[in-house]
Amino acid sequence: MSSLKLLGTRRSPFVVRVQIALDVKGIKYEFHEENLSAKSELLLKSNPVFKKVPVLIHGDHPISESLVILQYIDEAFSAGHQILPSNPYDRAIARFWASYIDEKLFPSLRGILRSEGEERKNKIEESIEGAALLDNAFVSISKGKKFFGGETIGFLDIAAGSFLAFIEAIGIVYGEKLIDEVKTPHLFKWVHDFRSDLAVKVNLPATEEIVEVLISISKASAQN
Amino acid sequence: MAVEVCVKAATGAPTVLGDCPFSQRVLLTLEHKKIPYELHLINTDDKPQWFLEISPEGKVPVIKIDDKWIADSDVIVGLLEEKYPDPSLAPPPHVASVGSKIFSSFVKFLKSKDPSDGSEQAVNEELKALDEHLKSNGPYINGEKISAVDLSLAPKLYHLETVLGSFKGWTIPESLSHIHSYTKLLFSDKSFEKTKAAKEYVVAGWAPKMCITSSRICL
Repeated sequence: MSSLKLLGTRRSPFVVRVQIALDVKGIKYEFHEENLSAKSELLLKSNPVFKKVPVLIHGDHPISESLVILQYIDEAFSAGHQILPSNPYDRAIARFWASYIDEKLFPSLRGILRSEGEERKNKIEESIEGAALLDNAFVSISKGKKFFGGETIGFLDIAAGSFLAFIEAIGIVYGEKLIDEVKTPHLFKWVHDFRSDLAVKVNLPATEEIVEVLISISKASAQN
Repeated sequence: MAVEVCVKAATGAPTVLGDCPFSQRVLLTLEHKKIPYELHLINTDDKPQWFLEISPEGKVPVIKIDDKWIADSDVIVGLLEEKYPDPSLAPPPHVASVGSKIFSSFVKFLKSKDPSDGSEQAVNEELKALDEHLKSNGPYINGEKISAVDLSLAPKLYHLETVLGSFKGWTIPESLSHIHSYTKLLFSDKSFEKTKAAKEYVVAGWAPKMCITSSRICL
C-alpha cells in the first residue's frame, strides 16, 4: 500500500471526520499536526487552492475537502467495510445531508461564535432549527436502526458526529443545548450510540477542551 | 533578545493587563523560563490595524517566535518548551491532564440557571479530585517541581474563585485544604502577581456572559 499521510489539527471537526473514517475502515496512516498560524510547506504545496486542513496525501496524491476525502477513501479502499450506503439513492441522500451540514448548519454554528447580542440569538435559533431538520431526516434515513448508516456508523454519521464536541461546548458556553431529549429526541439517542463507537472515542476531542477554545475566542473579541 | 507577545488589555483600561487566563498562562511560562519579553496590550474592543495584520482573526494571546506570529496558548507553550528547554516545565504524561475538566465545569456552573442541574456538584467533584491528587503528590501537581500544568491551571483557578464568589457567593469548600494551600502557593508567587488581572477586571470580563439572550434575566 502507498503511504498515507493526514495533515490536520486534532480539534478541527473536519479533520476528525477523516480520522474517524480511516479508523472505521481500519486503515493505517501517519498524522501530521499542523500549526495553522505557521502552515507547513507540505500543506501549502498540497492544498494551494484553499491552504486548509484536512489534506490526505496518498502516495503522491493530495486530496482536500473532508467530504471528498471520505468518499475517496471509501472508493480507494473498497475491499473493507464501506462507509457510504450501497444503494445509489441512499448515497445521494447521505451526500445531500452532509452537504447541508457544511453549507448551512456549520455556518450557523460558527456564526454563534462570531456574533453578539441579537445576531447571536438568531444564529442560535438557526442552529436549533437545523438540528431539528436533521433529527427529522434521521427517522427516514436510519430506517429504524441506530445510525444514519444503519447498524454501524457511516458517512453521514461521521459527517455530523464530528461536530459533537463543538455542539456540546456551545451548549455549555452559550447556555443553549442544540441537541436534547425534547427538541431532537432521535439525535439525542444517536449521540449516545455514536460516542460509544471506538473510532469516535479515540478521535473526538474532549468537550472541555473545546469549551476552553470557545472561551478563548470570546475573551479575544469585543463585547464577549 | 526579547520575545514579542500580544495579550488582552483590561476592558475599559487599555494600559492595564486584561482578564484572559490563556494570556496569563503564556506570560507565566515566559516568566518561569526567564525569557525576556516585550508586552503589547491589545484593546479587544478596538483592535489596532497593525495587530489585525499579524493576527487576522484577532486572536490573543499571540507571540512572535522565529519571525512568525503564533496563536493558541497550547501551541505557544509547546513551542516555548522546545525553544527554551531550560528550565523544563514539561509535565510527565500521567499528570498532564490533572484538573483538565475544572475550567469547563466552572463555566457550566456559572451559566447555570437551574440550581438542581448538577453543575455545582460537578465543580465540587472536579475540585475534590484535584485535592486528592495534591494530597498524595503536592505541593505542585508534579510534586516538588512547578510545571506547565500548574501554570495552565493557576489562572483558571483564580478566575473560578473570583467569579463564582462574586456572582454566586460561592467559595471553594474549606474541607479541600490541599487546594487552598495550592492556590495560596500559586497566587502568592511574584510572577503570578505580576501577570494577573485585577479582580474587578476579571469580574467585568465575565459579566456580559451572564446575559446571553434578551429572553434571559441578566445579573
